[in-house]
This record gives sequence, C-alpha cells and structure tokens, in this order.
Amino acid sequence: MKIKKIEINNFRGFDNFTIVDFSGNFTIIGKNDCGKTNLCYAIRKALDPEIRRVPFNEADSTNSNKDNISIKIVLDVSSISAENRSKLNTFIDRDKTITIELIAEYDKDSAFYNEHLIFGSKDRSKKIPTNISNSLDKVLDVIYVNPGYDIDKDKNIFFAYRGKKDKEDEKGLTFKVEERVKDLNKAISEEEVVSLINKQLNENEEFNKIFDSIKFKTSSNINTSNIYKSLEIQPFNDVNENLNNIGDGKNKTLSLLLKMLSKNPEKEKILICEEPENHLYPQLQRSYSHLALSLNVGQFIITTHSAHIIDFNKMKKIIKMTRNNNIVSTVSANINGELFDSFGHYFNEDVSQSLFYDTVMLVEGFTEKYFYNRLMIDDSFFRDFCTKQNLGVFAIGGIDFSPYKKFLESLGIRVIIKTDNDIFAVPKSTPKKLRYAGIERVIGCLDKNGLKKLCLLLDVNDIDNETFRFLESQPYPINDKLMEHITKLFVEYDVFLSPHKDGFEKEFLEFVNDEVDPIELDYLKKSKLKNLHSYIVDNNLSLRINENNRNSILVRFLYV
Amino acid sequence: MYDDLTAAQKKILNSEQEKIVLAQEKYIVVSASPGCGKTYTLVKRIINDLQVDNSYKGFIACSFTREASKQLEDKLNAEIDLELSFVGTIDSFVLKEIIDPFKNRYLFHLKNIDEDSFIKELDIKMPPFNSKSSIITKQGKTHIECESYYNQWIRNLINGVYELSYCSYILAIEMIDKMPEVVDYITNRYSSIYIDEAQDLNEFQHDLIKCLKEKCDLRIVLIGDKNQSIYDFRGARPELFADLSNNEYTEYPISISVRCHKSIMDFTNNFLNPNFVMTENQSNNVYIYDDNKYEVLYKIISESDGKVLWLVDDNQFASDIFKVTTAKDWGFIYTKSLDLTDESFNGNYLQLLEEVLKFYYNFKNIIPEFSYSIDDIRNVVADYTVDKNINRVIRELKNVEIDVIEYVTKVFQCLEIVISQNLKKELAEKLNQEIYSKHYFKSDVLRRIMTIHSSKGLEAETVIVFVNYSDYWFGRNSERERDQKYRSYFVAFSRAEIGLHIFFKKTENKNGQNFNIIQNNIKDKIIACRDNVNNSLEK
Repeated sequence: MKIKKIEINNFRGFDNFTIVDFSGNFTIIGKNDCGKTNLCYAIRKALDPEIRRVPFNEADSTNSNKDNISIKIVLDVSSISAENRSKLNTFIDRDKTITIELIAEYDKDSAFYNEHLIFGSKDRSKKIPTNISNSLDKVLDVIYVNPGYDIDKDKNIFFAYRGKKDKEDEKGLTFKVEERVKDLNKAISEEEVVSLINKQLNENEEFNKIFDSIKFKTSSNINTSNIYKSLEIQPFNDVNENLNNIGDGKNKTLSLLLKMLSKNPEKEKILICEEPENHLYPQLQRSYSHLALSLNVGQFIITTHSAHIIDFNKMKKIIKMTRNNNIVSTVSANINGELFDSFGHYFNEDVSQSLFYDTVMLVEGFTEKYFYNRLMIDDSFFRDFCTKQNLGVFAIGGIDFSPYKKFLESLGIRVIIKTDNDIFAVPKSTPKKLRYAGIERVIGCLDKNGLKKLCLLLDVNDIDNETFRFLESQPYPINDKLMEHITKLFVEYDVFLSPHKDGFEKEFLEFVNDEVDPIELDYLKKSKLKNLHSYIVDNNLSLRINENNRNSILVRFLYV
Repeated sequence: MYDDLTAAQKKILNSEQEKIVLAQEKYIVVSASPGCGKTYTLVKRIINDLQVDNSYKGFIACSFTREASKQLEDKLNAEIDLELSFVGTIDSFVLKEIIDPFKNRYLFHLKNIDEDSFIKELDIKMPPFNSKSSIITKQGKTHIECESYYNQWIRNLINGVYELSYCSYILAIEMIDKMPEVVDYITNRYSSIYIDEAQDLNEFQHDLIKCLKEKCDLRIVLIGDKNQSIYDFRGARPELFADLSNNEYTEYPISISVRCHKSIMDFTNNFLNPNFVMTENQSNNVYIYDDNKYEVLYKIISESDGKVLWLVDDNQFASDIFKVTTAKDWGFIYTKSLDLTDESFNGNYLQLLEEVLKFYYNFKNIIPEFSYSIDDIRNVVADYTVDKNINRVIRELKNVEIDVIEYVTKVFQCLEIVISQNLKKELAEKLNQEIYSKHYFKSDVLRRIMTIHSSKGLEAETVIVFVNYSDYWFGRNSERERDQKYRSYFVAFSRAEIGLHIFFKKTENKNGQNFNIIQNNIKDKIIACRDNVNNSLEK
C-alpha cells in the first residue's frame, strides 16, 4: 500500500496544500521548521489510531484561526493481499485507490476540535469516529521512526506485543513454562528454608492459643503471566562475550528492527523516517535505504538534512518544502531512469548535496570551484551574497549542463552556470572540423524564445548539430562583436559564458591584475588547479571584488 | 415429526440431506418438498462451506421476507459468526451491497454526472400494490413499458429517489456488468450466495443471479419448491427455477416430508402430478367430506389436541366463517394485516408500521419466544432515520403503556413521518377491531382461520381446507391462473401434519363470457387422489 496523494487544509501552515502522484518512495527536504515534521504528523494523524486519539486544538489550525482542518489521503491499494482488500469494503475505487479524509471542526465549548473520518471519494461513508479502530487500521500499520531513538521503549513495546500474542498461542512460551513454573513453585515450597519458616510460624504455644486451630504455611507464587517482561535482548560478539554498549548507530538500527517485528506481518506497512541520519555515520547513512527496503514495506518516506541519505536508486520523488509567511509550499521532482541517463557519468554525491541549496552555481571543474571557495573566504561582499542566497558551488566537469539545471530548477533552485567558451576539434572529422564546445555545452539551457533570438543573431533559420561547427581551414565564423551579443543573450538565462576562448585562466589574471602576462597565462594553463593554488599562495593574493574587476564574467552574476 | 418416519424414510431423508450438504458442484438447485427440513439443511450446508472457503470471506443468504430472513439469521447466529456475511432479503442485498455503496460512482462513470450532483442519501420508496412497476414485474421483460419505466426510474434515482422495484435489478446488473469495482468488491468479500424460496424469484431476479454467476466467482445454491409457487401476482417464475437444472445447475431433491404424514404428502404430490408413483402407506389420513354440516366440522375440531388450521381462498369467506365460529364459540382466531386506503403510505411505511405494532403488542409478551426485542426493532427503525436520532426513537418505542394510536403517532413523529388525520382515524377504527389488532400480537392460540396465502410456512396437526370447485378460468392466461390455483391448494394440503380434511364449496359464477373456458375438475381430481392412497394401503 502506498500514499498517492495528500491534501491538507488549514493545518499548521498547510493551506490548500496538495502533493500528488507519489506511488513510490519519496524524500522530503527543506530547512528546519519548514513543515516536514508537520507533514509527517498529518499523515500519521489520518492513518495511525494512536495519533488520532489526541484531538487537534486551536494551535493546530494555521495562524490559530480555528477554522475547519482537513487531511485527505489517497492510497494505492493495487498490490495488497486479497484478504486485506476484502477488509476495505466498498471503498476501493476502480483505479485501485482508497480515499480517507479526516475532518476537524472547532468546538468553542471544549476548546478542542471535534473530529471524524470519512472513507470514499465519490461514495462517501458515514462519519466514522476517530477514537475507534476502523477498517483501514485493520489493514495498514504506519511505522514512525523519529529523529532520536528510544531503544528501551522499543524493546518494551516489542516484548509487550509478543507477550500479548503469546498468551493466545498453545505453543507459546506462557503455556510451555506454566508446568515448569508450577514445579518450581512446588519445589520452593518444599525447601528446607521454607520449612523452617513454617515451623517458626507455628511453634509459639501462646500465639497458637490465639490462632486456635489455624496454622500457617508459606508458598511460592511465581507468576507466568508476564513471562515476556523478564526477557532481555543482550548483544554479544563473535567470541561470545556479552557487550554492554554497541553504540548509537547499531542501537538505532536495532530500534528500527524491533519496531518492524512489533507489527503484524499480514498487514500492509508504510514507513516514515524523520532525519534517519542522526547518530549514523555517512556510510551507514548511504546504506540506510537498503536497510529500510529490506523490511518489505509498501512505501518508504524520509525527511532529511543529509545528502548521504538521498538514494536516487530507491527514491521516486524529491519534495522540497519551504515556509513563507507561515504558509507552506512545495516543489517536487520525479526521479526516473531517463534522469540518470541524461546526467551521464556525473550522477554522484554532488547532486545530492546541491539539493539543499537555494541557489547553485555550476562550474566546469575544480579549478573554478577553488577560485570561488577562496573568494568566499577573502571577500565579505561575496560571502554575504552566498549566505543570503544560500548559494553553493559545484563542479560538474565538461558535460552537458542542461539536465542538471532542469532537475534543480524543478525543485525551485536557481541555477547559475559559469563556463569557458572553448573551441575543440570534432573527433574523427575529415576534413578536420572545429566546434564551439562551450556554446554547445550550454545551448540546452535556452528556451524556445532564447533559441529564436539566437537564430536571429546568427542569421539562421534554426539551430542544429552543425550550427556551431566549422572547418579548421575556415576563419572563426563568430567575431568578437557577435560573441558579445551571444554571451549577453545567455546571461538572461543565468549562463555566464566566457567572452573569449582563453577562458578561466585569462579571466582570473584579469581579475587580480590589470593586464594579462602571457607567461603567467601559460603557467596557469599548464597545471590548472595546482598552479592556481601556487600562484595565489606565492603572490600572497587576497581575492577582492573592486571597481576594476566587478565587470569580470567571473562575478557578473552578483550584479545581475 | 422426524420420529414418526419409518426407518426407510429416515434413511432416505438423511442421505438426501447429506448429499446436499457435501455436494461439490458450484451451482446447485435444491428442490425441497414441504416440511422437509430445508432450513436445517441450509444451515448445515453453509457451515460446511465455511470450513472449505477462504476464512476472510463471508456468504450471502437471502430469503423473501424480512421475517424469513430473520429466522434464518437467528438459526445461523447460534452456530457461526455472521460478521463477514449478509443475511437478509434479496431486495435488501441489492440495495445495501450494490446500489447504495456505489451509486455516485455509477452516476459519475456511467451517467457523466459530476460531483456537485452526487447523492448524499437515498430516499427509499416502496411502490404501492397495483402500481405500474408491479404490473411490469408481473409480466416481465416483454412488457411494452419495461424500458421506458426504467429510464424514468433512473432519472428519479439521479435525483436521489430510489423505488424498490424490478428496476433495482436492472440497475444492479448494469453495475455488475460495467463497473469493475463492484465485481471486485463482491468477489473479494463473498464466496457463496444462498437463496431460499427461489421458486418465487421473478424474471429480473433470475437475470441478476445469472449475472452474478457469470461475473463474480460465487458458489450458488438455490432452494425452493416449484409446486409451492403461489406468487404469480408478484411476478414469480417457477418455470425459470425448474429450468435451472438444464443450465449448469445440479439438482438435488429432498423428497421426504418430516412434517406431513406420508399419506398426506403422497396425496398432495399426486394432486399436482398425476404420474406420481405412490409407495405403500400405513393409513389414509386424507378425509373428504360431501357436506359442510357444522356438526361434522365440530367433531373434527374438538377431536384435535393440537393446532387446527382452517384454510380458505379469500378473506371475505374467511371473515364469514369467523363470524359463524365466533357465534358458536369454537375458539377460532381470524386476523388479517392492515390494508390502508392511503396508497402512498401503504407503499412506503406499511412494513414499518407493522413492525412497530408488533413491537407494541409483543415487547412485554409473557411467552419469551414471542417477545420482540429492542435490538430487533432497532434494526428496523435504523433504516428510517439517522444514527443520532435512534436513541430518541427507542425511548418512544419503549413506552408501550399508552394507547396504541398515540404510541404510533409519537414514534412516527420521531421518525419525521407524517400521519394524516384521516389515516389516524382509519387506524383507530381498524386497530379497535381484534381482527386487525390480534394479527400483530403473537400467541400460541391453537385454532386459526386464514387464507391459503397467509399460511405459507406454517403447519398444524389438523388442517381443514375448503376447496372452491365451481371456478371457471377464462381469458388469455387461463391455464396459468389455473396452475397457480392448484399450487395454492398444494400449499394448503401440505400444511397438515396428521389429518387433512377437505370440504367443497360452490361459488356463483357471475361472468357469462365463454371463450377459452377451463372448467374446474378439481373435485374429481381430489377424490381420485384420495382413492389412490386407499389403493396403496398395505393389505
């Protein structure tokens, strides 16, 4: 069973809030306090009978407005067992979904909300009270893992659950030990020590006169009814030594396992994990999704602040939440096979990291990234800009920027691209051809209008594979003036193309000096990052933006 | 009684019942003779099936009247958990399990009605007795207005009005045919359907069962006796029931009657079937009388220790007899159910009114089996009001100390049903007469006069039947009407446990029309059958 759609109204900043089309595992990211936990709470409120018991109060309505609150969830039940399907009654629609809505109305007299549930989308059920277990509760368990963990609580719940089931089981523990406990009680009662006590109780003549014909015996009453309470989980290592402490990571993992084992295996399950990265080191974070998925749940929902948790193989969707003026909104991106292919070989941790920023600057390589890192340390204006815009710089190598840009923009992230305007040879071309590699790299970032304008500039009908390719024997088809126009066009799309083909090294030298020394240019070009670093250190450079260099293509984006 | 059967008969009965309980076929027809213990067999069959089927599925068990389904439910409740199952009338099943839960999805997917016009709650109406829909039900699909009435019915449904009639079945079939969610629901939830009194199913109900058979993976068991089909006027089609065994259904008979003395059963079977082969009888418990002297009747009645049932064709004759027996102080009771002049009230609320009256008269009935429980009346009124109101209604209902008219008024007020002044007057008049008020009071009175139709399902030690031998049938449906009449006598004769006493009555034949007349040879037939029994007596 999976959640397919959530609609929330007037709950803690969610207004007309709809997320559609999950049908898979998804990850929610967003700043602290943006509503991730509230979203998880809303889901649990509708689907978990324990959470439902606590009614809403004034503070749960957005801005405490005391208006009606509603939480509507559409669940996909296409792959649940036949038995579970029959428990869901007439509410299953033809698209194999079931809709449940929790409606809360404020009651002035009690200062709480009166709540009820309604099943069904077009054919709606009568009002169902929230304090009893309903048909969906019999079919679905929502397992919630909070950011901290309480291993003792989980152990208690686990043993309580097993204990309860055990009592009904003829082959259970309670049954089996009953005989032995009876014998134990008997044996204790017959022990010497006990006989002595009995003797002492009965041997005082004066007292016996008062007791009349009544005598006393001591018996043992060990009880089997709570046998599960005396069970403990003890970790031990490969040489059979008992261990006292296995550390946070393992305890938290054990906690999750116990939660799963405390649930009826016949029921469907949805797992909600908030910030699972807490207490887990990065590698364990990276394999967390494997762990969760081995538990055979219908759907797995994570909220996280950690790039390590995001697993593009397992997640179908990323949802980014923001809160503005106390109202929550989201943007989301679907993850599918095409996405991986279009990113090519560069689908790595950087992509996950970039999701947590509001502005992302994509540069070609580590040399450029290093420059900006240093600029951030040295220049306060740049530093402030980066903090305010929540900007991160990422190097993605010399490949097509546009899929990365599209993906991030779908999550509401502004993408700035800085690239060289190189000219490379076209491999295996006879006669030998050259291409404007830099332009070709960013052509995908233009929309229809942009492409039209570009066509006008180039005086062609449309752009194709050959537009930016020319024979080596020819002179360069795009002169400086035209190139200036072209770069201006790209700036409108947040793409900062270098004005000349010498690229970053030349721009850097222009940035720090007034003129460019060809020997220094050569030096930097020879061993890019290494020499850049040496250059800065040897010359004791502090990178600063000033009136002279503020027009440099390197920092033009700050002023756009 | 079972103990009165011979060893041979017991053997046959047990074997027949066992065959039915264990039969493996998916589609089964049980042809049950009167008093053969079919409810007992049905309960055993259901229990057996439950052990074989998926434990998370339930079953559907339908009977024709509320009373009959209630009896079945009580018997089942004693043995199994009915939480997952549906026991009720077939009308109720169609409404509660097919139409009501899926009505808006039907409107949306099949009628392109959008969300603003969805129905919140159906306004349920019963058609009055001789309404257009009753006539169409009787004639069946060939009635010229069948489709046009249905189309109007659908238009009413879109406005939230639901009339319980043959149209319900046409709609249910359409929903099963075209809505996969309906099929999925029925298939996931139920494993079998059992229908009692299946000889009275009308053409539309037969179509529904055919549809369920084809679309939903259900086991089907239909139980009935085509000889006891006397509801022609309601559209019953016993011939369709009889035909099922030619259509993928396997037939299992129960031929032994536990109720009737063998000679009575043989006589009755022979009456309908001239080729019936009669086996040896120990005695002839069928008596035929040539004259209707009261002394003769009185002798029969006073010699009986147990129940006596006096059965006649129509209410007028019953009323006349009742007057006489009352004058002679013979201790008979004759009652009939209320028939109100307000047709619309009759159609919609008569059933409710009757249940409320039954509760009024029997809530504090001294005899425990006859008392009417709060839980039972609660289930009845639940269909007529919202949950919030039920407790208020129950409070009014419990107050049985007041006058009956005041009582009914208060209860109906609570249910927001209007009773006009004229209706109140009529009720007061009628309920003042024992002939009506005693109809609703359950008692173990021994001597009753009733019409044959009212006697269905009942039995008595001694049964007196007045057979009308001067009827003529004429017109297009003369054969059908005659068969109907003969079957009603079949029902009458098969009420007798120990003694069956047949008298003859002549009535005026007013109509002079002579085309296609079928004369009544019933008197000769009856005498011949009685003679056959005599011939079968062991020497």
